[in-house]
Amino acid sequence: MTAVARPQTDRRWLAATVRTVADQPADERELVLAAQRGEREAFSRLVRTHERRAYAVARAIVVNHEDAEDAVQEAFLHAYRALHRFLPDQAFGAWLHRIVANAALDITRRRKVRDADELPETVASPFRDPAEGSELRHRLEGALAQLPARQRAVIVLHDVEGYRHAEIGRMLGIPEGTARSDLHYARSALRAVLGSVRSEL
Amino acid sequence: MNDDRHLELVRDDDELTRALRAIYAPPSDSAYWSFLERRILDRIVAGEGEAWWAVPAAWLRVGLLAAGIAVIAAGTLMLRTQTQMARAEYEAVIDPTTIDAPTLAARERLSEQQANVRLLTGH
Repeated sequence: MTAVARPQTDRRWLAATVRTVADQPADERELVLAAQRGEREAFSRLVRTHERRAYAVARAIVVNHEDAEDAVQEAFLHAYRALHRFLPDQAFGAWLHRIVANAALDITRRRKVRDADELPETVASPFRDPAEGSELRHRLEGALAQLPARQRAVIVLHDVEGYRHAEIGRMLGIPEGTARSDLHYARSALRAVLGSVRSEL
Repeated sequence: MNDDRHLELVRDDDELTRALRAIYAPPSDSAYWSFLERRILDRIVAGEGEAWWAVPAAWLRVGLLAAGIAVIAAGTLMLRTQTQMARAEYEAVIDPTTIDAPTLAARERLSEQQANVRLLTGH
């Protein structure tokens, strides 16, 4: 694996990454350094550590489980190839999540173009069996599918994954204020669904 | 905003968050994550394979360029050699030093002695 053993030259690569080594366990830094030296087992351990969170980030952005899996695989491949540019003093997770978000946004854009030529997006959600979910869940999934992709990503990253506005902004490449307003609009739309389900019951 | 409205919004947000967490819950089966890890690593190995193919492709381009240069150089050399040979043949015909005395005598209607003198003196 000679590709990752190249000298680290691009020190601007992570200029936007705010979390520092203080947030990163010392053993993870060792893993990153080992992976940069070309030790594949070290990279495997990084995958094992981060794949769930990476999936969650991707799943917040794309519309279904399969696309989330694709985004995660793409992102880890990209991270592996770009590892020589990563500064070990930075937080590997924050760097990786940004790559995951970019991969997921790419898939969303490609799907949008493809879907424009095919059927309009309906309820593309993980909901499979009507008996599994409540009416609220079913209606929420419909509403989520109707939300603009960015608003959907913001509310899931914030409310489900617990990211802060600034982190979401960096991940999605939008200002923090935009992340706040997206969250506000998404919540309003989903609250409306909640209200209508309550009034019907 | 009065307190009742605020509490209602908090309650709604809590309910929304619970519902969203249920919808976006990642697979809980650890076997799934092992499987995904395997797929990611397989993808990387496959990607490395592509990289290995990309290197020979790059070398192939260099090789083709080098071969092209070699063909041009060989062609130029061959052309130059042919020109030199033709020139040598031409000079052999017109250069008096390459003519022997009997030929010169016959061509210039000279005696053989006169031809020998001309070959020695150059005029």
